[in-house]
Amino acid sequence: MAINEPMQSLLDHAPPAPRSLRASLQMPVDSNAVRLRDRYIATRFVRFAEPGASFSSTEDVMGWARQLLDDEQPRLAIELLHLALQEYPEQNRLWLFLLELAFLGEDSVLFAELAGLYKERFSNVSGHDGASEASSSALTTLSIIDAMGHDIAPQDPRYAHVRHKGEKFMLPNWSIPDSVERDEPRQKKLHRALVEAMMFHLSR
Amino acid sequence: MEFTFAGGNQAGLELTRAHRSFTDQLFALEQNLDKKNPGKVADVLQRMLRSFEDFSQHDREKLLQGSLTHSEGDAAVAEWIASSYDDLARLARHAAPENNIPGKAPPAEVAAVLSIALLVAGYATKWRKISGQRADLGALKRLHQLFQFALSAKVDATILPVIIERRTLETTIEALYVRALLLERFASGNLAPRRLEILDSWLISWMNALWLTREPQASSPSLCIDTTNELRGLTRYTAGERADLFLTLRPLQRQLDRAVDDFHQGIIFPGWGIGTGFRMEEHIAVIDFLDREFSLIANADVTRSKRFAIGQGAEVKVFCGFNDVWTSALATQSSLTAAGPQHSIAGATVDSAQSSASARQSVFLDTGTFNARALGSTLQQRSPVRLHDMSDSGLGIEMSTEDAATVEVDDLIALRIDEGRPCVLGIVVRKANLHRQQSTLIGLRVLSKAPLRAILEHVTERTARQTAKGILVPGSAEHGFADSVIVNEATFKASSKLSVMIASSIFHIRLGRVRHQGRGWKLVAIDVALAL
Repeated sequence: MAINEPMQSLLDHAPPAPRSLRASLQMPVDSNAVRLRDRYIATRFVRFAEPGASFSSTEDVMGWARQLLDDEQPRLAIELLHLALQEYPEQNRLWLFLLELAFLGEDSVLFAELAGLYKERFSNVSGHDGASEASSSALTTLSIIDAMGHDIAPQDPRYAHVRHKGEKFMLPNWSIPDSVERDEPRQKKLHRALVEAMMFHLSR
Repeated sequence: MEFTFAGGNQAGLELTRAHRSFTDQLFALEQNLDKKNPGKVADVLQRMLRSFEDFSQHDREKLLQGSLTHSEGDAAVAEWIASSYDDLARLARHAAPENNIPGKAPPAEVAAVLSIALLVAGYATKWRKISGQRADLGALKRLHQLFQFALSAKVDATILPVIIERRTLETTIEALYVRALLLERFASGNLAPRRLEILDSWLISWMNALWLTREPQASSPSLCIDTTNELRGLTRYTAGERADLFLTLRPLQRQLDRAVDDFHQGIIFPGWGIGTGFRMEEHIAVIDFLDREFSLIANADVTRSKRFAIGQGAEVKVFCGFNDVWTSALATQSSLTAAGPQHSIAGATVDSAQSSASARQSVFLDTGTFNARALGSTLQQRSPVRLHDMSDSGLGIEMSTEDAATVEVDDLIALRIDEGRPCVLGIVVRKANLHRQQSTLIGLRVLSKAPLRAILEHVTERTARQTAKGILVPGSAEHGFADSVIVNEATFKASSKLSVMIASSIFHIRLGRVRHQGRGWKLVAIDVALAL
């Protein structure tokens, strides 16, 4: 039976696997490709005024990505963050936003890949003795990332050093911009009430 | 974007003697084909298919790339393309069972015939849709039969070269079967012709990632196939469902990721085919469409996964516009109400915020004949409306062109598909004439399969109470920030706080940003200011 047992020769002809995250976060070099990418961005994010021009504004990108998440368009939010990081990879908080999304999506492979790239880029901040406020904050961030990694992939040796304190893991809320005020309990209460009402009508 | 047939005087394509001559060739071929020799049949049909594709290339490109308005001649040519693909598929199909006896014909030859039958069946499905014809109700049965032949001849996994758009690809019968089924599933009324063409080129590029399994994968949502059910193609799998083959969603999602990544790198995926020349909007619409479909498959919960016990062509009731939907479509539903003292629901007076919880529970009671007169009058005004096709995220309905004249893209529409069940609420995303049927296809994107009718109250300092109509549309996210309310322009402009009571709780809500809007309505994000 062929079903369930793809033959090696067929595997050889399988379409290319998705690029590695590192490769997909590279900007295209060819000018035609850059133009096409710009057209794609302008059309894809038509709801935002000149999105491409604002990719350097961490606060704008985070606000838009949050809106997209709230509109139940996580793919679009992730795309926006990717595209902004392609051009301005130094935006620390966008990396953290993506890490939290990978964590919430329980995508341990993507999380590990993101965590690796993040550490590569930002871990040197924590390399100084007599840590400044910035390096202390970076160290905290790295330990949170490790704790998240341990939570999402407990068997992964990269997070084996994490000491589990038996406490419930608290989400760092990296995907919520500072400028946004949210009252989650109230919003959740309404949602539960609406779902109950919907279930009532569907069950009749 | 749409095929709007404008009548006979417009310059465009025409069915010529050459087209008819090709049809005659197909007819002659059918009479003379040696069906007992599958190798020869496959060879002849492969050449015929190439010759047809070369011949029709200009017509297909013109139909898909041309202007928005199409002539009668264009429509005739589009139908001719669909029917030619149908004829080619039939010829290949008829050669298969003749040779379905083990040892009678070399398996490679049987596989070659089957591959052509399945490849062309996919094209036929696509072009029936593009030319505005109804779906072929026998198509699924034939696809299942072809695959059953392949299984019994043990050629389902044989790797074969197929020629598509003058490119040779290697694939299997299994992948061609899945591609044809996915086209059947996704080619719904809310997917316009150019987008369907793009979608097909993507599916073809993804074919070798389309593997079926005998068991559903525990780690990923799946679609399933019951090959004994001639009315069902690929459907979302839920536990206990009768099915014998499964398609895991994850590989499809990964392929979509890859396509999106190509656009980020400035590459139009897949880089070949008529669709490469289409505007960026068309490609992005396909990404959005697949993303919605995959997300509905992946996140199917009870409220969103209700299947309709109804087939194509069945009559449905339709309500158009915010007022008609609120007043008539949702009339049989009790209202979630404002918290004030004067609103009476189902005969039970709903008290103010201080009233007892038991009285408040009455908002879920059946209202029985509430507003039945309005419901009746609405239905009498309309010609029969029929279901054209349906996917998870959208559906197509067919209505008389006269009735459809009042419907516009972005209108709000509610459908009662299943009598006694909540209406399906959707937004009109496309409108296209169905040629020679005096009817129009309306494509809808589904907003909710259980919209909630609400009477809202403006929260102001004034003593006079002021109510407003609203339709609550819960999102799927548990955090609730995806929940929305549909209100009319006046309510939105008033921009005051509104209150609504649901079961025993009172909520004050602020209207947030507009998520979508159309004539006289806005779908607005809800921001909860108070929950008691």
